[in-house]
Amino acid sequence: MKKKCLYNIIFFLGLYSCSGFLNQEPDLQISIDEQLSTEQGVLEAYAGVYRNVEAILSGNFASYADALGGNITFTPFGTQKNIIVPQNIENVYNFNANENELDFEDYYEDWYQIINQINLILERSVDFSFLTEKELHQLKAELLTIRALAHYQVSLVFAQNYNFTADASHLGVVYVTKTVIAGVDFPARETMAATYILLQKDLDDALVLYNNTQLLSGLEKSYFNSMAAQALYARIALQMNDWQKAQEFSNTVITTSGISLLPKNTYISEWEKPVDAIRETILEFAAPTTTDGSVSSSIAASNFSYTDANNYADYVASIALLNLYEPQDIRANMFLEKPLNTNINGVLSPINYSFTKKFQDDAGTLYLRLSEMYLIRAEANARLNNNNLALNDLNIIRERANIAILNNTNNILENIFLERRKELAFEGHLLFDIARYQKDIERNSDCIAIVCNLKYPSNFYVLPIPFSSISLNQNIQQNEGY
Amino acid sequence: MIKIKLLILLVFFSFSSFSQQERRISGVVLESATNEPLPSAAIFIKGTKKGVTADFNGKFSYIVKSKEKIENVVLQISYVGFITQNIKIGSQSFFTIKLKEDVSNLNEIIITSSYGTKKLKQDIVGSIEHIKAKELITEQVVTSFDELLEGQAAGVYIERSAGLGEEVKINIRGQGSLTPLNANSVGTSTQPLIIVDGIILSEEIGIDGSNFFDAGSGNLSENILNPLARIGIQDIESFNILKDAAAVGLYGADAANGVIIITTKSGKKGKLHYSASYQSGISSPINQFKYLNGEQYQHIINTYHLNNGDVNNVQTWNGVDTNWQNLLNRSGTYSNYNFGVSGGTEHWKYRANIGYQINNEAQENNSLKRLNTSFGLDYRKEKWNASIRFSPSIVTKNTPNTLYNFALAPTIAPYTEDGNFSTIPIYGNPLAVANQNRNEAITNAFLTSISLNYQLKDNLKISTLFGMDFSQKDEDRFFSGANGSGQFNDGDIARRLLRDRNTNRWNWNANLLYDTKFGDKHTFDALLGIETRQEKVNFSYARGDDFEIFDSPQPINLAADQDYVADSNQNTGRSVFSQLNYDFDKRYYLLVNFRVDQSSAFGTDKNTALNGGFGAAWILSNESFFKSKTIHLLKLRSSFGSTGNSRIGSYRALGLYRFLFNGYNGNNYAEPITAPNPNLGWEKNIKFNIGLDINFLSIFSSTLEFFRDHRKDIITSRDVIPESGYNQVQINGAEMYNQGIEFSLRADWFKTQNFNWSTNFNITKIENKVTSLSGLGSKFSGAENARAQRIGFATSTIWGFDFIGIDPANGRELYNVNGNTYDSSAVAENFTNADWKPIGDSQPDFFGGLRNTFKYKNFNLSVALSYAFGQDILVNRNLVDNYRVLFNRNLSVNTFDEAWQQQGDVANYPLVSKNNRIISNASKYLFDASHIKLNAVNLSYQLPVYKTKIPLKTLSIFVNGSNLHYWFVGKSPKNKNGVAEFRSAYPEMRTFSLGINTSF
Repeated sequence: MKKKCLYNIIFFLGLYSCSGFLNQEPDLQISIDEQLSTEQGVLEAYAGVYRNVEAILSGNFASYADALGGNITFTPFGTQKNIIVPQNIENVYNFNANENELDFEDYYEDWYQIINQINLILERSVDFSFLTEKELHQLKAELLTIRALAHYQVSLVFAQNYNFTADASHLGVVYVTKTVIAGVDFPARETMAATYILLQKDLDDALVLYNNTQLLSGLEKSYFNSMAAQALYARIALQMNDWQKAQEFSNTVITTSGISLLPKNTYISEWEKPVDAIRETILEFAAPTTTDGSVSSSIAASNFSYTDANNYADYVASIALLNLYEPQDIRANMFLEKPLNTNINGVLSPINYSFTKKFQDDAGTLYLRLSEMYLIRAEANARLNNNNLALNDLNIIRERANIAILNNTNNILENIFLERRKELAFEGHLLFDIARYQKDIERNSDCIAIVCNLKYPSNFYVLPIPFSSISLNQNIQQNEGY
Repeated sequence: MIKIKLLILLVFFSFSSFSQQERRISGVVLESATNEPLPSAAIFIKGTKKGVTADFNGKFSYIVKSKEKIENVVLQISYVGFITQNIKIGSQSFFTIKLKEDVSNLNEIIITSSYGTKKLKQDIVGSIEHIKAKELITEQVVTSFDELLEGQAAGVYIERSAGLGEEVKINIRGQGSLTPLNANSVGTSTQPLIIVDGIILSEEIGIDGSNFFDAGSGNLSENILNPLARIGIQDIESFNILKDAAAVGLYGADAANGVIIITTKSGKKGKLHYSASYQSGISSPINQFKYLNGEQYQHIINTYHLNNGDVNNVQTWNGVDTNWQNLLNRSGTYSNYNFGVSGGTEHWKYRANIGYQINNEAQENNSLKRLNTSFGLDYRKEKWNASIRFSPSIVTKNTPNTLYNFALAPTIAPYTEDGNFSTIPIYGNPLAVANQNRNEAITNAFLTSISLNYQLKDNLKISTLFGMDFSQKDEDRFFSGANGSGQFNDGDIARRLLRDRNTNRWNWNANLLYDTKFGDKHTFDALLGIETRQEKVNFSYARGDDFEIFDSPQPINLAADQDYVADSNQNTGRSVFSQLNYDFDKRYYLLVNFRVDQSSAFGTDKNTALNGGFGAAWILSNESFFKSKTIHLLKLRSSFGSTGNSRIGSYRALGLYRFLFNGYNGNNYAEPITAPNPNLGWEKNIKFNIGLDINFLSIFSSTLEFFRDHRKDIITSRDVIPESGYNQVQINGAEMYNQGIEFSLRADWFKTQNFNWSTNFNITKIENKVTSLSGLGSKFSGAENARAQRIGFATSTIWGFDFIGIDPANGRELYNVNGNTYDSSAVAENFTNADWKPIGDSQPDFFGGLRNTFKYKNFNLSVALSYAFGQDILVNRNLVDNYRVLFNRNLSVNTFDEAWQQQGDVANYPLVSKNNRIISNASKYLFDASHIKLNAVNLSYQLPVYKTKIPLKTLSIFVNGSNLHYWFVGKSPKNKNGVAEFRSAYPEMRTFSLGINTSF
C-alpha cells in the first residue's frame, strides 16, 4: 500500500520532467522560431509583409506627394461642412511638422517594422528546407526587392533628394540589413550616396534570384516578379539621378514585359473598372479581402472615393491640376464631378468637387504602370541628352491623351515634368518630381495651408525624423531645420 | 495468623473507604459564544491524570474519587484553542461548562503554509499574521473577503474600487512594481499569491502582447472583476498573511508580493447541526459628486462662449434643471441569506453551506448577486487523513447604468412632453440607457481540492493535494437601438457584445513531512515537496452591429456586421521546495527554506530560479535568567531571503508573431508584434525582516517589525528605437526598495464572565525608493533623461507641474517651473515631462486600523476603523475645470463661483474659456486623501433560547452599519466638492442592515 502510493507519485513526477511542459505557445500569438519553422508559417509571414506594405501605401502617404505638390485639395468636413486640412496630414500639409507632432511618425515606424519582418525571414531562410530551391530564391528575391522599396520610401519622405548636394553626401536613411537588437544596436543614418548603393545592392541581389514562381494565391501582378523589380529599379534610379540605369531598366520593361500601354479609346473605361487593375499595370498591391472576397479596406475608401453626397473621402483634384488639362485631353475626363454641400460663410451650398476615377470602389493600390516607364525613359534620355528619343516617348503619352504632339525638343525636361504631373496625378509622385527637378513648391488659389509655397532648396521638403528615434539613439542626426 | 492478616486487610480497606469520598458528576461542555457542544473536551481533576473526555455532544459523566473533600476538588476543563477553565466542584453534580475561545493563545496551532506545515503560535519564526474570520465583522456589506481586511492587518493596504465586485488591490508591504509610465504598459503582478485550501487562485489579467485581450479599459473592453468574490465569506475560517522571507520562502518565485492562505471551515464532530441567517438592509450613496445645476450650468457655458468670442452660441437658460444623479441614484437594498449543515462521526466530518447575497446598488439598475456554496468532507482513520472541498459559485454583476462615466448637461430634459425618454445622441439618455441597455457579467466558478495524508511512520507523513480553480465569465453587453448609445454615426442600429473568459487552473503537490525529537530539548522537522501547476485561459469575443430588431438583445448572427475574435493563454510551472525547522528547548529557533522554480514564461536560458531564505528566533522569556512578572512573552526574530515574481504574463521572452485573418489577396498572414528578449529573467525580491513580540501585563500582546524588501531586476516595458521594427521591449530594468515599520497591538482590557473588551490596533509606515533604472536608449540619448520614473524618488511619486494660482489680472493659470512663473500656454509649449517635479505621493505615509469589541452579557458590539495619512491623489481634470467638456457635459459645482470672472478676482480656477492649455499633471488636481474611515459598526444580541423551550441552540439578532463614514483631512466646502467627492465619480454606498442568526 505504502509503496504503491510512492510509486504513483514518482510516476507523476516523471511525467512532467521530460515532456515539453514548460514550452507554452499562444494560439493567435506564436513565437518567431515556431512561426518560421514551417512552409505555411513562412508564407503567412511573407503575406504579412505584403499586407503591411499595402497598408502603408494606402494610408496617409497616398495623398502626401500630390497634396504637398499642389494636385490635391479637400472635401467639406464633418457636420459643419467646412473645408479644413484633414487631420492625418495636417502638419505636413502646412509645412509645420516637428519631431513631436508628426503625422508621419507611423509611416517611418511602419516601414522599419516591415524591414524587420523581412530580415527575420531572410536570416532564417537557410533553414527553409521545406521550400524548393526555386521557391526559396523567389522568396528571397521578392523580400530583397521590398526591403529596397521600403528604404526608398523612407528616403523620399525623410531625406532630401539625391541631388540636394552635388555628391549626395547629405543625410540619407538608416539602412537595416539585419535584425536590430534592442538596446545593443544603435544604427546611424547613411549618406544619400551610400543609401543608393545599398538600394542597388538589394535590387541587384534580387534580380539574380528571380525565377517568377508565384508563392501565394492571388493576382500575378500583386506580387513582385523580375519585371516589376526592374520597373522599381528604373524609378529608384531616376530619383537617384542614375540616368543610365533608369534608361536601361525602363527600356527593358517597355520592350520585354509584354505589357502594352492602354489605348486611347479604352483609357477611361479601364480606369473606371471597379476592382480590376488596368491592363498596363506592372504592380498593384491588392486591397485586403475577407474570406468571402469582399474588400475590407482600400486606398480608395481611405482617401479618394465618392459613395454618395454624405459618404465621401477627403481628397479631390485641385483647380491647379484641373486647369492643366486641355479640353480635348481625355484625362480631363478622369474625374467624377460631384456636388457636395459646403459651408461658405455659414451658408451651406452645393459646390462641385472632382474625385479621381483612378481610385474608386475597391481599387487596389496601384504602384507601377507602363506609362510611368515611358516617362522615366523619356526623362532619363533627356538628361543623357538623347533628346529625340525622349521626345518620342513623351509624344507617345501625349498622343494617347489626345493632345497635340510636340515637334521640337525645346524645354523637353519641363514638358516631361508637366506630362508626369498630368499622367501620374494622384499616384504619389508630384512632390518627389518637384524635388528631383529642384523646383519651388507653388500651390495656388485653392491651397488652404498656412504656408503654400516654398523656395527650393528648403529644409521643409522633408520631414523630421520622429522623436521616438531621435530620443533613444544619439547616433541619429535630425534633419536640418527641425 | 491468617485471621490477623484478614483483619488488617479489613481495617485497611475500611479505613481507605472511609477516608476516600466519591461523587458521580455529569455535565456538558459548550462553546461559550455559540453554545455549540465541544466534543472530546478533556475534563481532568486538577493536578492528576485522572479524568474523562466528553462525547460527541460534549456530554460527560464521571465518578470523582478523592481523599479530600469532594467540594474542594478542582476540575480542569480544556479544549484545543480554548481557554482552560478550572471549576471547584462544590455542591454541584451537574455542570454546564462554557469554554471561551483563546484568541491570543500561544498554544494555538497556526498553519504556516498550504503544504501541511503547522506550528504552535509561539514557535513561529516568520512574520505571519493570523486572523480568524469571526474576529472581523463578517456581517459587513462587502463583496469579497479582501474588503474585510481593510485596515485590519499590519502592512496590508487594501484599495477598493467604488464599483461592486470590481478589482481590489492588496498591497502587502508596499507597492509591488513600478508605477507604469503610461497606462497601458503591462507590468508584473502586484498582487499576493492567494491560496484557498491549497488551491492557488487565478487572477484576471490580459494576454501579454495581445492588443485585443489586454484587459484594457473602455466601452468595449473586458470588465475586470475581483476573482475573490468566488469565496463565500461565511465559509472562511481564518486568514494567514505571510510577509517575510521565512514565511513566504516556501513559495519561492511566486511569493514576492506575499502570500495569503485561506482556510475554510470544516464540519464539527457531533450531531447534525443546522445554521441559518438572514440579513437585510438599505443603502444610500455617500460623497456624491455635486454638479452645476441648470441655471449655473447655463451661466458658465455662456461665459465660456463669450470668452471664446462665440457670441452666437450664448443662450438664455431654458428653465430645465435636471439632476441626473438624483434621477438615477436612489436607495439600494441589500439582503443576505445563509443556510448550512454540519456534523460528524468518529471518522467523518462534513459541512455544507449555501449563501446568497443580493446587493441592489444605489445606482439604479446596477446590482451584484452572489451565490456561494461550499461542501467539505473530512475523513480520518488511523494513519489516513483525507479531505475534499468543493465550492461552486455564481456571481452576477449588472451595470447598465453608466451615468457616472459621463455627466450630462443639466439643461437637457430627461423626458419629452409625451413622457418618453428624450433623445440624446451618441451617449444616449442615461435613463433610457439604464433601462434599455444590458451590461451583465456572470461568473460561474468552482474551486475544488482533494488532499490525502498518510502517516508512514510515527514521525514521517506523506501528503498530496490537487487543487483546481475553474471559472467561466460571460459578459453580455447590449446597446439598445432605442437610445443614442446604440445609434451609430455610420447608420448602424444597436450593438451586442459577448465576451467570455474561461480560466482553468490546477496545481498538484506532494510532500513528505518529517518531525522528530531527540533528547529532551531538540525538536526538528523537515518538509520536502514537489509542485506542478498549469493555467489555461480561453478568451472569446463576438460583436454584432446593426440589428433589425434593435430594442432587445438578439443573437449576434442576426447582425449585419459581425466580428469574432478568440485567443488563449497558457502557462505552466513546476517546483521543488523544502523547509527545515529546528528548535532548542523552546528558546532558540532556526528555519531554512529552499525552492527551485521553472516557468514557461521565461526564455530557455533563464527559466530556472533558485530562491531561499532563513530565519531565527529567540524566546528570551523562556530563558532561566528572565524573571519578569509583567512580561509573559518576549521573542526576537529575524529573517533574510529571496523570492521572485514569475507572474508576468506568459510569453514575454520569446518574441512573437501574431496571426491574422483576411489579409493580402484574402490570405491569412502573420506579423511580428513582440521583440524577442532571451535575456529576460525573473524579478528578485530580497526580503529582510526583524521582529519583536511582547506580551505583557496579561492584557497586551504586541508585535513590532522592521522590514526591507529590495526588488531587483523589475520587469518593465521600455521604448526601443523604431528602426528595430518594435515599439517596446520588456527588460529587467529597474530596482527599488520598500522598507518600513509595522506595529500591532492587541489589548484584552476586560476578560470577565459578563464583560469583555478587546482592542486591536495596527499601524504601518512604508517608504519606497527607486534605486536604479535602465532603458534601451544609447547612453546619452534624450529619452534616458526624460524618464518620469527617477532614481532616488518613490515609484509612487506623482509628477507634474507646480500650480501656483490664477493670475488675478487675466484669469490665466500660473505655474512655477524651475523657479520662474509661466502661464499654462508657456508651460505647454516650452516644457515637457522632463521638467516635471514631484508634486505628491500616492503611497500613504502611514496607514492602519483600529477594531474594538465589547461584550456585555449577551450584547456584542464591534467597531472597525481604518485610516491612511499622507496620501495624495491626482483627480480627473474632466471633473474639475476642463471647460472644453462643457459643450456636452456638466462640471463640478465649484466652477460656478471659483472660476475667474473679472479683473482682480482671486480665483481657484482659470477664466472659463477653451483657450486654457491643458496641464493634466498639475498640482491643482492633487488632493490630500488622508482620512479615517468608519468601516463598520455591528451590535448583536444573543437571545437566551437555551433557557426556553424553543428548539433552537442559538438565536441572535444584530444591526449593522457598513462603509459608514469618511473623515478627510481636507474638508469639502459646504455644498461643494472636495477630495471626498473628486476621488470617484461613482459614489460609494453606506448600508444599514438588520439580521438574525440561528443554529439548531
